[in-house]
Amino acid sequence: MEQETMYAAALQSLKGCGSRRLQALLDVCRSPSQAWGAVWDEDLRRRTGIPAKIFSQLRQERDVFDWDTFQRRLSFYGVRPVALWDDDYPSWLPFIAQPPLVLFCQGTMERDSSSIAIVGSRKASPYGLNAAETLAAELAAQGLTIVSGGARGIDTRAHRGALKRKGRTVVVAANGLDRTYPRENKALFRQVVDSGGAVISEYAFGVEPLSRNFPARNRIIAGMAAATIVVEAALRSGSLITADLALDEGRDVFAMPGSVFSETSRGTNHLLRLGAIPLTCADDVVREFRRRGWQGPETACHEEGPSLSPAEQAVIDAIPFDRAAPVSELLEKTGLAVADLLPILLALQMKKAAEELPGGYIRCAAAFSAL
Amino acid sequence: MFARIYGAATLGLNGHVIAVETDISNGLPSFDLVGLASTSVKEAKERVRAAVKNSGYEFPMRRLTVNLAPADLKKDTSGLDLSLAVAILVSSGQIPEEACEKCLFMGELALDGRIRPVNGILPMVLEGAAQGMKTVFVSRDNAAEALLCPDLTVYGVDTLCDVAACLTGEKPLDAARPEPLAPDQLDYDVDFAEVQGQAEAKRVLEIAAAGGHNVLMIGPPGSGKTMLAKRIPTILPPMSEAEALEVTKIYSVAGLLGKGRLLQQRPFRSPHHTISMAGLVGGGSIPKPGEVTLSHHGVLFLDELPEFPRSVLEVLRQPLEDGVVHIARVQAALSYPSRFILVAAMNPCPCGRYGFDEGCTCSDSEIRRYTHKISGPLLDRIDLHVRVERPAYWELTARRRAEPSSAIRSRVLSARHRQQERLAPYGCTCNAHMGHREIRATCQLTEAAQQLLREAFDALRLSARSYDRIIKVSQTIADLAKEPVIAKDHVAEAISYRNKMHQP
Repeated sequence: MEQETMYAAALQSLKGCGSRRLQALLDVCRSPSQAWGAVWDEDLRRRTGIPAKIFSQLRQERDVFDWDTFQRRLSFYGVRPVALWDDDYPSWLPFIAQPPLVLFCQGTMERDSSSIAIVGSRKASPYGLNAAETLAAELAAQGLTIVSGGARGIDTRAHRGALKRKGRTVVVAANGLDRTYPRENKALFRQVVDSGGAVISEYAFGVEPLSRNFPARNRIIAGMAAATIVVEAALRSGSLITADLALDEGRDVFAMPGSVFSETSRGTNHLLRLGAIPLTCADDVVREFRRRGWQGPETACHEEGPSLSPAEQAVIDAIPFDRAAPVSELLEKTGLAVADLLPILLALQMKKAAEELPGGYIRCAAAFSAL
Repeated sequence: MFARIYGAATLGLNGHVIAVETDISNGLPSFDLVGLASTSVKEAKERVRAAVKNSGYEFPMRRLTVNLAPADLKKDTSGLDLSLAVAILVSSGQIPEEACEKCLFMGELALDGRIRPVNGILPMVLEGAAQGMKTVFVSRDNAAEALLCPDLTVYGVDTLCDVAACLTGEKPLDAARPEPLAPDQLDYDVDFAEVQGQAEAKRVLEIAAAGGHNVLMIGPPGSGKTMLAKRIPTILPPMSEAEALEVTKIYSVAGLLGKGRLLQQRPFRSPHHTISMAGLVGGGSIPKPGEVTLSHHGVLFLDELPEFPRSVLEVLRQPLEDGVVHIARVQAALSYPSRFILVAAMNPCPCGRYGFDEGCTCSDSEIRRYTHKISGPLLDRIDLHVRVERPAYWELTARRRAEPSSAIRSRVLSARHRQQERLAPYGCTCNAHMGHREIRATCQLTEAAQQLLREAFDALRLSARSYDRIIKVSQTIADLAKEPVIAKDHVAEAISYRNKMHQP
């Protein structure tokens, strides 16, 4: 069986052979090894329906394929192909319209039957970023696998939130795993792999993160997860595409309501109007999962907030959840001097009760569910 | 006949007494100038010839040889004109040689014999006095500056005629007297009382002034970064006598000493971001002082820091580290002092609104490109990072007058005093100049402060490089609070001013 997976991965690695052509080859030849070993003649071409030019290119690629290099690159990047017929193929994924036949995986693959996708805007507001991280942390603490795309903004914060509570998280990339996109998340992805999560992609080595890969990638995110949460999204955005894909597959879609004035919440508010499940705390998700018969541990979603001194409490009460408050505003609200306020703000940061952003301080929603 | 007269030239910030030796012998009329003279000195031949003739004296129509000693020193000044003319007059017997004993002549000649002022008078007269000169002849405009050296009799003269008449005894001159003018006053036309709000930024600038720390202000356009920076000199302690003399020497050499008075105000230099590398650190075939040297003992303000070419910013590293720039050229290798407080200002992103305002239109990569223009090593030399916000409307219209500069300066002064007492054995004057050794020897932290530092290192992932910086800043904060040891809150505040350049 492992042999077949390798052949499928090799076929997928031929330049010009996407999921659909691979499927066409397998439909005709029955197994990847037979497809690889078949005589690629005009008869096969006609039966698979692949255009002549691409077919001859594929045949040439196959003829010069270097198995040694292929194996070496797999082990160099720590990548293992997982095929549809393998035991650790994500359990929800086979049921979508076009499941990827082979996934290239770094890290630990599991069935992930209780997994949830958290997606959202790359240019999110502090409100969305804060909520995404907290939500991911609480859901990961419940034992759910957090699936997201590893992009800047909401995706990054969702992965980070899951890691914070030592949960499992999966990054679905839109490029070959020999490169990292976005580059600044290299350390984050390594951390995901090291902490028992996975970075996966249907793309072979050498594939760039082209814009046309992203909608295809989004179908895997939506397909892997039992439900999808959209934290913040503009009206025309990839996150709404993911939500549509999830709906097409009959999965639940949660949307987090936002301000009616906020550009980045237009998409989520639109989803709510269409009938998405409003998401106000992690319990909303957990309740929905239990209703469907999910047997998770009966632990409280939220972590107890850190214990604060009265002076710290007074400052934290002045810090808003949904935007960064500049120091001048906090000085005004608390009436403290700069030399007194800054040490308290640092203490709050170190207790992870507040966080410093480019424009000031924002309160970390340590107890999102209690809101 | 032979004569030796003394003039002076500068090389870098040092004056050098130049012996102008002339010899007139029989032969075809000629005028030879030897002794490593630059073009401006060679051209003196024509000026001197005309000036001597037009002053009513005779220019010898014989073989004339002039040597400038020491002959291996490159001379690049028109200030040798006067000594050259006097030397010719002496060797041709028109002025008695005895009259010129222990006299120093400095000035540029006009063709009609008038004497023009030259740069670098102060270092030259200081060197002259050190070499035993008693009298100095300079242009009237330079007299005040020459008087800064108390050991010399100074004659401010207008024409070559006056000099010659004085030396021959026909018409004695009155020695110049220091004007009863008070030295350059410490009055500034700006004050921190005019800045409303900005409590955090003001606090940071107070710490910077107290400890001599470098500052980076990040904020949107119109938030008052330049306004704040311009007021830093008003809270700096006055310069000591030695510092003032050093700064005055620099400005004298650079030709920027307007009134010829000892400078009392600390320099504030604000070069435009189109400045070249040579303009910033100094340059030229015989290097001239650059902006870093002109801001010695003062403030160098770089507005719009990322707009400066990266290569120009990188050359700041040595002066920031060592307080001195070494410039080597084919003609000369010189060192100029450059101990200044670097105050830099920048926008958070190309459009200036990132993090402060909704509606920043920059993409992540644009912001990264913008902030990455400033290299890590340069940021590592900046102790204090502060975000400057646009003041709120109520702050602008507040009736309450903000704290005046004088109040802040008195706190700065007492903090400086504490530092000087503590650091005197180590040869430093302020906390920012402490090295690792001085920090270990003089900075004491309470147990709680040490624990906070330990925790912060893990929690905030501080770099090892930032460790010394945080201790130096917290020492200054403790000095401002008049505390003998560094307490937990001092460290906490210092950590709050760490590098906040968020990489999105």
